[in-house]
Amino acid sequence: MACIDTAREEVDYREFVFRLALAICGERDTAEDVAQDVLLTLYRSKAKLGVADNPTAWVRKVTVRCATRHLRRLRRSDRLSDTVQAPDGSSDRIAVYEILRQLTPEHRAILGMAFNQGLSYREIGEALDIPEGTVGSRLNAAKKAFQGRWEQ
Amino acid sequence: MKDRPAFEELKSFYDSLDAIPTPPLAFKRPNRWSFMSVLLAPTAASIVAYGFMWFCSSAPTHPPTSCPLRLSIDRMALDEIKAESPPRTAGAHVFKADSSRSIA
Repeated sequence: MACIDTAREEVDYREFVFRLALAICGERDTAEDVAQDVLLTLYRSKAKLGVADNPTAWVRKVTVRCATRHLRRLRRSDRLSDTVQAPDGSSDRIAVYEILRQLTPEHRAILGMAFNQGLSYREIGEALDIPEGTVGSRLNAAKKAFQGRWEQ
Repeated sequence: MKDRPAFEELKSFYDSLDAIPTPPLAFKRPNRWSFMSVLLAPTAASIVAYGFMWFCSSAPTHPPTSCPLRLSIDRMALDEIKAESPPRTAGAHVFKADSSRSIA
């Protein structure tokens, strides 16, 4: 199912989708849920993927949208239950994750794409459906939000 | 914790994510109880519907005409009414037509 047989080639998007979801969510369980949803979406819209000019960009956009939706839902439930599912690791890593949890899903997405995936402004803009100029200002806002919380 | 610059920590956090392996493609099973409820809900609904139909079909369509219990209750109610009502006196109000006035 992960292999989407497009008109041009058979591409395995499983790794690609999971890595991007992990970069945005920062935690394995949520990334797995997001990857599952995205792969199901891709399977359902195979035809659309086959005719897309840039299938990778389209898959990236679907993944980012699905991940932000998941994070938004988690944020709402976190507010109610106040449960924290921190990743395993050092205390610094947990502290970083705690701060990321407090950021908006859009900020988390842009930080993940910039810091982990190393995407260009153009690619980030395509994924978020925003112009390149806005990517810079939004990335700065996300960095500022992270730094402000880190220094508290 | 705050000794290291924020972005250095952020970068090392994102780098550490690369160590997490991609899981094998195995779709997560649905929650056990939600799965059970999908199976059990139609069964429960059909049992309730069948029970309701049975109740409707077995219920009497006509009111009982000679129910001894009902009769005894009626009798008791009648006795109570009789006991509560004031005794009739000899000079009870009797309206009579005034003979002195005539319509004609």
